[in-house]
Amino acid sequence: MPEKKNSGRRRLIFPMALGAGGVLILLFAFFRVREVREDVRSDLRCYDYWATRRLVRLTARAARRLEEKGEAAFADFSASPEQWSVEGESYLYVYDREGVNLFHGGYPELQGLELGDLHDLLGKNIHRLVLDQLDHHSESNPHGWCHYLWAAPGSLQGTWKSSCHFPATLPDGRRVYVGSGHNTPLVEREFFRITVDQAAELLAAKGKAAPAELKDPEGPFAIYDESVFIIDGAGRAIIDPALDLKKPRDLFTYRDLGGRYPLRELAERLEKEDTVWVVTLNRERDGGHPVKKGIYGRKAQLDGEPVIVGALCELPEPAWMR
Amino acid sequence: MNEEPKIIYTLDAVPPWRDLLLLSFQQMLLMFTAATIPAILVREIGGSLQEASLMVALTMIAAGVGSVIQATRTRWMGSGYLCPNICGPSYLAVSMQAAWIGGLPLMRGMIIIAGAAEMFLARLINRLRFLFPPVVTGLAVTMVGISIIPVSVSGFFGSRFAGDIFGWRDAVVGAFSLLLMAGANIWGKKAAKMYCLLLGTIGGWLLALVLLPDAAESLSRVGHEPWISFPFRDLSGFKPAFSLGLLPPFLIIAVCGSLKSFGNLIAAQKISEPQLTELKMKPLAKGLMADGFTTAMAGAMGGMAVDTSSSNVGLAAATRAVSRWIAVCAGIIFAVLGFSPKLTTAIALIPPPVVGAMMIFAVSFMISTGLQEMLSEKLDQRKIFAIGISLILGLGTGLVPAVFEAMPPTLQIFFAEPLSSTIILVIVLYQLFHLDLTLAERRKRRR
Repeated sequence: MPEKKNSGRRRLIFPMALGAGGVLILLFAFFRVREVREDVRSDLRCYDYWATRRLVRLTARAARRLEEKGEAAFADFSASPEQWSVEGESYLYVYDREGVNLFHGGYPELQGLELGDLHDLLGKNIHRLVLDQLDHHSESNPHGWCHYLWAAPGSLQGTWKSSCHFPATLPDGRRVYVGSGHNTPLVEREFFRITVDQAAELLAAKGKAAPAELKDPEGPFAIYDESVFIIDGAGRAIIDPALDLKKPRDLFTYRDLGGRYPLRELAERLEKEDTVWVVTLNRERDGGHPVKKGIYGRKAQLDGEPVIVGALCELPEPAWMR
Repeated sequence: MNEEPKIIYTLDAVPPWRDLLLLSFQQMLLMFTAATIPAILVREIGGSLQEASLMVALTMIAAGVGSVIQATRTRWMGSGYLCPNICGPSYLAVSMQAAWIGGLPLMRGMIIIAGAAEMFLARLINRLRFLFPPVVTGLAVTMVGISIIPVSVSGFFGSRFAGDIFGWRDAVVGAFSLLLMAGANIWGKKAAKMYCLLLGTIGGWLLALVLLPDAAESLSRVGHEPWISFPFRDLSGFKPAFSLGLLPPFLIIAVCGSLKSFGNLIAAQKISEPQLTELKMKPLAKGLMADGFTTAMAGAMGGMAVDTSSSNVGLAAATRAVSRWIAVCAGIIFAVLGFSPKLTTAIALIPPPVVGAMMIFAVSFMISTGLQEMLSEKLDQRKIFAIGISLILGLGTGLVPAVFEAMPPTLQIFFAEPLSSTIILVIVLYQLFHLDLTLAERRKRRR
């Protein structure tokens, strides 16, 4: 009889140990999640790629670490670089507001250098771009995304790079920002959402002077070789989505490879909604394989006249569908 | 000498409540791996989140009801085997095409037509039995398993989109889950063997909570979803439309879907009734009828087309629990889940590497069953060339797609993807290479 009791108790040990282990793991996960602020966590759903979410998360955590420990955080970033990188494909950097590099996880030789005048291949001043996004566009761009064309090794035409940025105030009162980006670009639809929303704000603020700024390759609106387009109420291009034409064309007559009229559909749906995503099947300029693209559009005002502002972007394709 | 492993719960057995619920839950988890396909379709055509959720819910309800119909052997339909339904990935491309051209009403209408075509084919299957010798059915079953490779392997490595960065942590989670499942199945005693998939899923999920920040954070989404939602609130958008131009691709996919289901049903028959020396056609025909009916029903309800699930058949083989009541219970659970966004979301949050591991585990059995069947007869030159040429050209559609994309559209329909191409080719080539024997046999009978 005592043997039976013992064997019965022994049978319970394993499931109880499993259960206790499971509870511990859940608690660990709960506290780990809370390391990143609620507002950052809830915004991450707008990103398609898990690597982007991880990048934003670790950059936000780096900002928090800087606010807690100041420059002592640099030792943490250096001591375990794999914790502050997404699978070795990204690195952190920290700049002060004067453009002095305080920490660089990718190129440590840049530390201490004044790089406020650094330009990308298109002439964009990256430091000023970052400050502008952090200071004036935190609502439309909460994770401080900036995009620039840089001379990546082995690339003749340059490679686009997107980096997120978070501001931080060190314990000594200095204001800095920390940023990070993937070495290989992962193009998110959210980047184009931000760009179009900011374009709409610019139109409201500057009216007819805005289109020239939107077309400026040195500005923040030229990303990934796409540009913001503007269409008036009759479908005429004020800024064409594809070509810089002298005579504006009627974009409502554009029919895609699926037989749809995507820009007309965009306009019709915008009559009921403020922002819309439309999908289109487009034949590229080289006449090759058709490409599925997304068009994000929103209503805007240009000197009191209603217009549509939008941008085209490539859509992420499920890995198993190729 | 290795003995055939003993079946724990036979086809007609009713497992005890605890085992029935756990085994059904395990089957249902695997059915869930295809639940995101309707959401992918809606996203690809630019639909809203609400439309995607609705499509997922309706497809789940159709798949659940279809699983029950398939498992219960009625007079007109249902094979009576454990062969549940899931959202059919083979229908994704044509459904997207239809939705693109004429919106969801056109997609629904064409799915109804495809389902009706499958039901018509089911009536003919007995007369077409000569087209399906063991070599052909074995290759069909193998190819059904192979068709799952892209989605299972990309999930296993945590890769959701093309261009995703390779994640070591995702691979570790996937490998851990898969090894746990396989280990429990190989070395586990009764309960561990039966619930190997569940064990691997829970173990992998717990590891994912530690290693993958996404896995932990995404759990918070469950709180935002309602417990109950009735997907049939607004029926105004449910009117189906039809298009003659889309008839050929949908009919081809219906034939391929039928062939795929035929392969699954054969595998289910072999696993459930290993004593049979040749195919029992009546339950297979009724199974195909149920499959076609469920596809049409899914379209009429407003969901995506549903199909029998290869991985679930594979899981039944792994666990040696082939009772039809497991499929009935799993189908009911799955259909009920369609009404609960909170529970659906919770299950949908199984990390992709764990889902990939589940599918690889289940499909291993599918592929092996097919190979065994294919090699059960001695292979002569006729069979070798029928198998070899079909496999090479069929798999070629996936390995060198650019070559086949350059074909005229009428030919492209037949070479759209590996599963349908291989099956069509092997049927045609087998008959071609055996033509002289077939004619000689007929002359002999006439005399």
